[in-house]
Amino acid sequence: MLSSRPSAPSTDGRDQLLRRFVEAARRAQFVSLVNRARSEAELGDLLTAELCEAFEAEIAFVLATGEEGRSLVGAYGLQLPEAGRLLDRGLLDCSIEVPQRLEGQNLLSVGARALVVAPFGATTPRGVVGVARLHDEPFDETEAALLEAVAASIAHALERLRLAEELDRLYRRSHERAQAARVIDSIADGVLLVDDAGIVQLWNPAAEAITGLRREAVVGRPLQELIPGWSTVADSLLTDDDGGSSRARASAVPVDVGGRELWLSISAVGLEEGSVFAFHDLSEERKLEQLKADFIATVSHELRTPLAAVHGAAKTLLREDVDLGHDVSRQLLTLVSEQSDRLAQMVDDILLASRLESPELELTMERVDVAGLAEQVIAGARMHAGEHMTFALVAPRSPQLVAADRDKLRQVLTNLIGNAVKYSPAGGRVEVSARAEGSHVELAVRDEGLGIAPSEQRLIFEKFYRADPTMTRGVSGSGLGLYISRELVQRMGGTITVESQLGEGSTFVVRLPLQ
Amino acid sequence: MERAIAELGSEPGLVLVFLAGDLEPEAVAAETREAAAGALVAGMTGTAAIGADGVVEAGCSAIAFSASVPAGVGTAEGADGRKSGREATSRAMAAIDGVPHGIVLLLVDSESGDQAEIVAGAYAVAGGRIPLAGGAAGGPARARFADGRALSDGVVAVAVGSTTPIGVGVAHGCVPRRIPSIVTRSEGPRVIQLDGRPAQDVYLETLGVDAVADDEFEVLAMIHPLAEPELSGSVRPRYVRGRDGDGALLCATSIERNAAVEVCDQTPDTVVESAREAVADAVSQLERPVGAALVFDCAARSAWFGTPLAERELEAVLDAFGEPAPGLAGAYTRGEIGRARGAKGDRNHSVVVAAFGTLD
Repeated sequence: MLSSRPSAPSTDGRDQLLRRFVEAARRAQFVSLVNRARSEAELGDLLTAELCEAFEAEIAFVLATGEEGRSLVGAYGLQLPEAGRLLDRGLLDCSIEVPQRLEGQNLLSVGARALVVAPFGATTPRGVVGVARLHDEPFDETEAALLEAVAASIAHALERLRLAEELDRLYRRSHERAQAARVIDSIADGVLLVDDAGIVQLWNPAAEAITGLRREAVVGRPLQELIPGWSTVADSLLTDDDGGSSRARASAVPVDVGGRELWLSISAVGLEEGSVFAFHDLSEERKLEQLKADFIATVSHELRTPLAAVHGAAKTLLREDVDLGHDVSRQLLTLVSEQSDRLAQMVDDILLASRLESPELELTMERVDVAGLAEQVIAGARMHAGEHMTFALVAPRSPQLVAADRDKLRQVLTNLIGNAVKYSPAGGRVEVSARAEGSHVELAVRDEGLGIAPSEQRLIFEKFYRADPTMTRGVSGSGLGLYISRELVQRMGGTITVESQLGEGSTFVVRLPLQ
Repeated sequence: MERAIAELGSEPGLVLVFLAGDLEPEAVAAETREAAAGALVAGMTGTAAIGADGVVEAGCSAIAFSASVPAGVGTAEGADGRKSGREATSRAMAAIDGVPHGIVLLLVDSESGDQAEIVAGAYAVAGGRIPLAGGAAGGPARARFADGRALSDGVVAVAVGSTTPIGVGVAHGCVPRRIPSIVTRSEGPRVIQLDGRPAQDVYLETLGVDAVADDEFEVLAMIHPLAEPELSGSVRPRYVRGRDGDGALLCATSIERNAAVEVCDQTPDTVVESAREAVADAVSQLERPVGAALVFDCAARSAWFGTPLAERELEAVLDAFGEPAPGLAGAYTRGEIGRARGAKGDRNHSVVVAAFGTLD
């Protein structure tokens, strides 16, 4: 009679069950292992070592096949030349479709006695995985089946690694792009990309700052519409003068942006996506260069005039054919003396201006009565000014004491009062006033002369700047006086400002700390 | 050493020395160099030494190889076990280049680096045709010797060439309980979960033991290793060194996730029987009568059962070799290395026997 109760498995049955258990565990282990690999090389190393252990074999290998031939994903138990021979088509057939078990004396030309090989790749064969024993123990069907399962996991792992690599490549590219965008957004140079149709595709924040044109207003539009003459500029920059080289070349060109002239140093390079232009603003540098050129012209003129006078007077004095008489001779010598002083003053100004740029200029601070000092300077100015000018000093009786370098403050006042006289060609009143204002003393020099246009009031304290560079109003000067005055006053802890209207005179106010 | 050289009866080319007991490694190294009379010297300390006369708990056993036997010694130090194994083996094997047969003996340190990695490095150089044998140094001094120096770290590789095959037999006395578990979580040699539960719980449950103190656990683990079953039906024992507070088992070797493991028993009889098996396996690979042999035996196998078992085991070894008795030396180790088949050679709870055929 048959019993319906399950009976305990026999010893053989238990062993079989155990072997199946171990086999299933091994399969799971291989899946876990191939999924752990982060690269093909790591997959090859991990897998072949584990295959040797699981199959108690001396050799394991994974060979990939493709259009470019065979490549070794990994090998264990083979020296390099032996592994290299696996790439030889004659040694191993990789076109198998099902696992194969082989026995021999010198399989793989390495003395292997037993070999099992399984293909991987679902629809297209992508390679083989093989395990070999040097000892005489053939592989059985169960082992071939396990290797087949491993092969399937290899195909999936290689596909996963390929996709991961592709993802990584995309991520890196996107990261690089983001990084490039951040660089372009943060550099001080303007950068723009114009496509082949002349449409702006990229306009960085520096380009906005330099031109004042907002990105939203520029991107998607032809740049020629916003910057007239841009096409000519671009064409000249992109002209291939280097025999096909795409190296960027820089040129300084003026461009008109919203009615404003900007001098830009622009370099351009042609790319597949269009043309990239990088530029920085040279307007300030150009202005400075212009100021320098004006200064050289002015100084040349300013030097030549007294020199011509000295030269003429000296020549006249040297003439032997004419008796000049005592008075004329004295007049000429006075002229030589005065013009020499003028020349010396000009050279002093130039030297002082250069010293003001270095920290070596030292001041000797002391208590100075500004009203007393102003009185002395006015007295000196009065001697040279002529009768068409009048001078007045408005100050309280008590001394107005400030902390200052007496000589340098005298120089400032001389400059300001001298300018007041110079820019009052029709004559008029120059008033100097001194009064305490909080913790400061305000020293004002007021004239009724030509006045200064509002647009120029910010610039007149800059080095070499002259309100009348072409001397159309007949006023000469080096363009250094107000620059020197401002620098000296600032070094004495004060400020200098100007208030003026064209045709109504000017008032320069020096504020110095009360002592 | 002097006795070993005298018994050789010819000029020595290589002397292998195994030491046990309290000793000063540097002084011993200098002495061995002096005693070797110009021959190459390599060796290691063990929990005890093994000689043809018995187990040496404090002293030395040595074996000498004739100068006509090609031999080389290589050393390498560093944290990268695979690299050290590769370099030391490569240096040693240079001396047996072109010789038809050979063996590489690896003398390593159980505390510095992964033994499996050292073996993998050696295997990458030696390949599948050269068997590997050896072990990890033990004893209070725990040192290796080579070139008259004592090494506390790194690998000593000794290559011995031969015109006939050299046999390596590996066996263990572990009997699996046939209740397999799956390693569901592991980190290198730390087995955290078995069958989805704390590994320690499953381990003790399988042994039918309730909670035990740490020292009791250590003793228990010494005779009940884990083992990874092979497809062939054999098992590969994995020494359980201890446990941690998270319920994990700390093993001597890495065990992969998803691996099947079994809890094993050992008895004095299975230990003794395994020694016979190892000798028989090694001798079966020879083409000439055995002339000399080396034994690397797991210290934990006899530690639990005591010296009488060690003596019994040694008697079994000598008995298995038969007459005439070969020259014999070896040591009780803290991890064994033995590879004759397959690619892996790091062993636990095993006895490894290397047998050399007589010279022409």
